[in-house]
Amino acid sequence: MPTLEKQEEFLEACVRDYDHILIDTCSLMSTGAHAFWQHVLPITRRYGKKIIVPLTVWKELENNSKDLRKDATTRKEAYNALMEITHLQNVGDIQIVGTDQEKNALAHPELADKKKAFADNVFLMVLTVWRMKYDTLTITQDRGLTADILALGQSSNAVRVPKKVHVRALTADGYLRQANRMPGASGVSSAQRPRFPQQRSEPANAGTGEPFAKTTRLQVYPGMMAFQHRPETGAMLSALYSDGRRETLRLGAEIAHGGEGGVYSTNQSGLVAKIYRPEKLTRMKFEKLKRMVAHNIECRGVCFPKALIYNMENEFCGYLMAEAKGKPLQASVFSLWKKGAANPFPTWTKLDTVQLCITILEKIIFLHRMNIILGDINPGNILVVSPTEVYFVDTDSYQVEGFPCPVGMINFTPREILMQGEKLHYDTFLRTEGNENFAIATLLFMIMLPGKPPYSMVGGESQRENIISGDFSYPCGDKSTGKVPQGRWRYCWSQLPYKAMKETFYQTFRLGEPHSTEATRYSAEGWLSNFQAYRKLLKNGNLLENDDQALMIFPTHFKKQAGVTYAKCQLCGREFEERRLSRGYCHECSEKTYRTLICADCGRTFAFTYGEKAFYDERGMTLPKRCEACRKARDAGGHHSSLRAGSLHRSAPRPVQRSHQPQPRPQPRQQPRVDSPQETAKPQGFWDHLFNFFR
Amino acid sequence: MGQNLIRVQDLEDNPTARVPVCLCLDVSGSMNIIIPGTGRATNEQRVIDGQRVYIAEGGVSRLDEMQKGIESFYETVRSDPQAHDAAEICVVTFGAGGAHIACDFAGVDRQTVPRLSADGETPMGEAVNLALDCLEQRKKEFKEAGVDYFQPWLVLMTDGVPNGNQQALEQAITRTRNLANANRLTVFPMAVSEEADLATLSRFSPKRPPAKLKNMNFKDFFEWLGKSVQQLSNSVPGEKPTLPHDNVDTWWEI
Repeated sequence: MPTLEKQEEFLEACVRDYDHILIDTCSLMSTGAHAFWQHVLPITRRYGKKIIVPLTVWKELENNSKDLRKDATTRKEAYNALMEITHLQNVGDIQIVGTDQEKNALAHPELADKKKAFADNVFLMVLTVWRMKYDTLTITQDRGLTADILALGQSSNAVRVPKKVHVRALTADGYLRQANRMPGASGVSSAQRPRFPQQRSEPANAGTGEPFAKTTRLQVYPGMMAFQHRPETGAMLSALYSDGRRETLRLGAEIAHGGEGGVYSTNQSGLVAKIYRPEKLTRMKFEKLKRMVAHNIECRGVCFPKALIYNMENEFCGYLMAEAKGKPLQASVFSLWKKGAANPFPTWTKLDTVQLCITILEKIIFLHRMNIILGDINPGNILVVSPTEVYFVDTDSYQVEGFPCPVGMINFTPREILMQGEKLHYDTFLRTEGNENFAIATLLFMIMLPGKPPYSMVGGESQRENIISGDFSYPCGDKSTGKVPQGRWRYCWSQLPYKAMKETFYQTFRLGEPHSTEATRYSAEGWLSNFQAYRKLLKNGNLLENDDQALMIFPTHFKKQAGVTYAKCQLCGREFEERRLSRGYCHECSEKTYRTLICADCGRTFAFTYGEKAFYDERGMTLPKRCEACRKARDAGGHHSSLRAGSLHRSAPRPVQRSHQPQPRPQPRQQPRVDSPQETAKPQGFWDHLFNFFR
Repeated sequence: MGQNLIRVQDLEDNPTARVPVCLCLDVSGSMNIIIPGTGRATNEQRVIDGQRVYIAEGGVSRLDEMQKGIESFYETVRSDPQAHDAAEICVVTFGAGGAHIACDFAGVDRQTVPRLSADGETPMGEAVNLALDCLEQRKKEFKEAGVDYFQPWLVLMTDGVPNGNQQALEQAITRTRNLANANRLTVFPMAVSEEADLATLSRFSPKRPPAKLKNMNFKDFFEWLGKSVQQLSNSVPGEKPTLPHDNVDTWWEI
């Protein structure tokens, strides 16, 4: 760690030596921002220079400070940064720089270009020019942008970069440090990179396209677009692209069909065609597809409409899109519980499902940046090849501009929509990003607990009612409803990391928690950073060190706690807290049949369990001769007359049969499955009581 | 015990929200009646299940068609990954010996399609009561295990007039109506033949008039039912099944 003087000196050298210093949104919102201004302003004043804040950065701060989908802390940080730089601009300490267009937009918001400018693009655009003229330093915390800028500074065969293009990040105490770049992203020339590198975190999944306009007004185009000549396999068609280009293609075999029409292969490799059934094609669909195609949305794994398809009679009849691969979530990840061939990924671990969530989130984030709402997120329209290769299908139902997504699934619909009525018509309203965030959280939950909907619970009602009541049953910290579904789901939940997963899910799904409403739910970006944190914990071995089942999709025990002793059940071999085992058996196994015996009295067979056997062994006794009913009958036949008098009271609490007897005061239960301790020195278990009673 | 453990294990392991469907089917003697045009009538006459009929040689009976229908229902449900995990089917029959569970609830993989045989009377009330009991029991099991479910469906098929215990019939009608009115049950009453008692069938269903099966086309009906289960367990614009438009005209007649 350099000394303060060294850091101060370095800062001064930067101000002196670079022609321009620019600063990015994330640095202005970082903890060191205020201190940075304290350190740097005296120096810039001395040298008569000004740090540059791009106008898009100012706009981003303004948006972030008002964006209710962001959490309160982010909004506050953005607001503070916004106030600070606005003040600094007013007193002439910094320079806010924008393009003419941006300045016009500020003055006349009603004329502003609907396309949202991204600060990253502005940096890259400016630096592409400045690298020929000025030495520049950009201050950013963003690793993706760092990689992009550093790439700009590298000379290649095509371009010799004469000037310095450097990047630094802010430290927490407001000085400059080495900036981290996205691994693997360096050395990519800007020409090879997508024109709109909006995907900051994982350039590999970046998409391109022009964002749609945001609107809250529902579009309506009534009427049908029925056409005469429905193309069949072998038909020649024409694909019309947004730039007016027409391409001829031949329809191949039908790959899949649904209610609206069929999907066909084409003679263009990697491209397939959806052809509508003439009676299903509405004007609404046509208008929506026209818009979709016009925005040139390209993102690996998102099978978005690319071109409109016309038949030889020049009737509109469908659209062209990228071909999808893989199996739907329902038949893949949601089938991880199955045995044999029905489970396509038997070797998957938590690392794979966490990575899958990251891959899916990156695509959703891209779509959201394009102002596209997926709407009908469900396990049927995301196909999985591997944790890093997924395909989004049925994209023509996505909500863009005023065109709603006309379908949905109860399970993925938030309470604020379900409460509108028993019968929902998804095509009559526009969804918000807040609505969508519920579907995203549900999907992620259902990947972590493969296939299990978040609101399933013991004593639950229908899905709709469960979502509306918001009675999320999985525990968080010491908050618990005791209604967690039976089976292994509780172990899946228990093994999730607390901060990144459990708390986040809990706060989203439990009504009244800080992130449970439309305005406050975590966005896809928020989830992404949580899943990245989870992935890190899995990769660096932290979780595995604590519990050897941390990587299992279906763990068989609760997450281990520090300071607790664990032991294995003698029969099933699963690990339990030592104190929960009864004579070496877990509760489940101690009730399993060890041997089937024949009763000496009635001649019927009866089960002798492992728990009983362990008990008998401990006392050195031989197997019982009679079944429970006959033992009872014998007892009732006078053998226990003394018991009624109360002399054996201590040894035999059978509350059901002896309710008229004075009962010992029940003790608080310390161990489940073990009845209240008696006054004997050694605490007695259920089987002890049972045995005593029949002895 | 073992059977029960599997039942519980199935419930807990499969995370999919379930669609419980109970088929309540008439297997009275009249279901043996040969579909016109498929067999050769003899001159011999007999009274079966209250109807005077000719004895036929060869041909395809109503029951044969119903059996094929149920098989295609299972096939449709099993072929769709989502419906396969979601559907839970139970078959209750009524005929000789009263009401009988031919196949209790379980995942469709564990079930074998029951082989039906027809004989005896039409104790419909008893059967519907038994069917409702099965549905109640299964719902209770869902709740105890913490499994999501859709409100159940009851398919009631008959080709005759109920002639079991009158009190049981009235009780069954009241129970069914109450559940349907509270949106806790969807009832599909189906008249299999011209002789079926439409008046009674309609009393079972406050929201949906009974439908007459055209030309003994069980297969289409059950395929439609299977598709509706698929639809319900896939993307849905509501919790109610809707009729697919394509094959409505061919057999569905209200």
